[in-house]
Amino acid sequence: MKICVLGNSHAISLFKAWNSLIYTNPDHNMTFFVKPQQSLADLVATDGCLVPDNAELLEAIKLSSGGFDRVNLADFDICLIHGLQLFVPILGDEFSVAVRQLTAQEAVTNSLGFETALKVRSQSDIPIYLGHCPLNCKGRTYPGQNPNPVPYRTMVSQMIDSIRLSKTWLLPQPPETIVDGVCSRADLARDRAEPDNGIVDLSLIYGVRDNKHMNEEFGILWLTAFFEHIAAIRVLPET
Amino acid sequence: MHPYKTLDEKAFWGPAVARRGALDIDELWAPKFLIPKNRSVVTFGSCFAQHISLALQERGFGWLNTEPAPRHLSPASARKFNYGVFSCRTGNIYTVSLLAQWVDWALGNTEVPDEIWENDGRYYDPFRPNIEPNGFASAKELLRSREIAVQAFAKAITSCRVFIFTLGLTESWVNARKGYEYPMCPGTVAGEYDPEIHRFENQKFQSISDTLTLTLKKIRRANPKISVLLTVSPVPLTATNSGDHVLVATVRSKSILRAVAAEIVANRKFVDYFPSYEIVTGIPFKGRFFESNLRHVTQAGVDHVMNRFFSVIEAKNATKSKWRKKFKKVVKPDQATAEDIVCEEEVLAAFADPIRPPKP
Repeated sequence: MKICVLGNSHAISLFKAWNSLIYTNPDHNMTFFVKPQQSLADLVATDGCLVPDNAELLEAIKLSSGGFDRVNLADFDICLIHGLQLFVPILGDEFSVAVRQLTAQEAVTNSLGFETALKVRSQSDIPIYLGHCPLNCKGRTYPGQNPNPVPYRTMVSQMIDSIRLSKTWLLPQPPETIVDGVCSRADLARDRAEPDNGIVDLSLIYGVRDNKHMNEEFGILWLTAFFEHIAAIRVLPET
Repeated sequence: MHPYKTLDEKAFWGPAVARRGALDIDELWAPKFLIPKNRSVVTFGSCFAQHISLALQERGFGWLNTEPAPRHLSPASARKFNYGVFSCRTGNIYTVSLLAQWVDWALGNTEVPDEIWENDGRYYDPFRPNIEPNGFASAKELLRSREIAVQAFAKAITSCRVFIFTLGLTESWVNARKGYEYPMCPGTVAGEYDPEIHRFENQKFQSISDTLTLTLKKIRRANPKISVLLTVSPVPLTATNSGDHVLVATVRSKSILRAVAAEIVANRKFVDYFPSYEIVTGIPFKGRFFESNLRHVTQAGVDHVMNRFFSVIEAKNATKSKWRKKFKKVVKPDQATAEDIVCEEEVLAAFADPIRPPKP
């Protein structure tokens, strides 16, 4: 399968993982179009492609994809959109079920990830998979965060149900990467000492004390689950 | 020489009002205390207080929100669930006695009642009947939400530096058996009216004044640094249960609240009054700040009130510009407009018979 990956800093763990998985997954070919933060908002949908509308984004696209100046969707079988401000809200019982459900829905529909999916869909009929930003690692909490939050599975299920775009699915984070129901495993956080990955040095943006971005091991677990998922979809009989 | 010889121009109707354009009337207010942008301000009260909340946010003042919406909920959806309308999700606090009730709950002086209303499998909070657009999913969820709101109100009154409260109504509904008050007559928004239990009280000057005096004492004891800014809502009553004509009832209600505010402010350095009521309803403005229903305040009216408020505040602050350097907190304004103001009391309009036969 020819897979294009559109993402921001969170996709870098997948990028590194793919470099390890490439030889054991000969059926797949992944091309990354990555720029940190919200820069992919500047992709313009036109003529079956997503085209960067500024020189800075063009450079980043070329660097991460190995030379492509646009995302030509006709070249791919699947689009994977990763990160791009698509967060899973971790909320407690201080919010009503109705508020939690609406928040889960809007966390998807108001995200850059979903906006990018709409752009892709406007130009192509290929399946789209959305991967949300990883859960924060254990130990990192927000001020005022409820100590007894609703489990991740509940929130992500509501997010999955909220997607109303054809052939588009939100993939949950692999269960083996999650601890305490709402956190990523601390050992899967980006290695502070890791070298520049060839796309961007995240330490320059997020500092060395970063518990939001994941490492290569996380990427391997995530992509392995993703490959299993698309394989399962492929063997489903036509109805 | 008699005293009128030495009075300021603003003391005379001719030069201060009659010979000026209405929008040029100024010096309506001389603040007792500063409200620097870095000072945490909370807003509660009747519908009109919501405009003050919005205006404080839009102008980058330190409006304190002690019960914020989830981070990923859009501002429009947050408002539907009454987040960011007041400093926490109390809903409208129309009367001084309701304010006293919230203060007593927050400070642990009285137990928070456990009454809930159920309708078609949804649960409604008698003390915040419109707080969730379709009610709560369960009684447990409702009680937890009420508990959170009371905690947030406690945090608001104990951690703010300026407490802005808009007095709205004198007419109130109480539970005659339990002694507590509802913001709305049971049976209107939700619940069921029972004449044996639910009693109407049109509060009088002295009781409102006494209640406000005592309530401010309690707040001040809990937060000695607090300053209080009172306003009176210029929004007329939607309906009255007093037996009077609604216009007469409106004037009675607003007059009493205005008089209470004057009395409370008179001898307290930490309590001030801002004349939003006068600016909207005053003779020079000839009703221009009301919508065609003669009840809703227009956006132009709200803007004029807020411009008057902030021009005075900012002029006073400018003399203490060093305080501005400490400003850190900017609360993003949300997208609400005057049309989004939440006023439960308006539901009473639905009970007005639009085609009433003339009395013989």
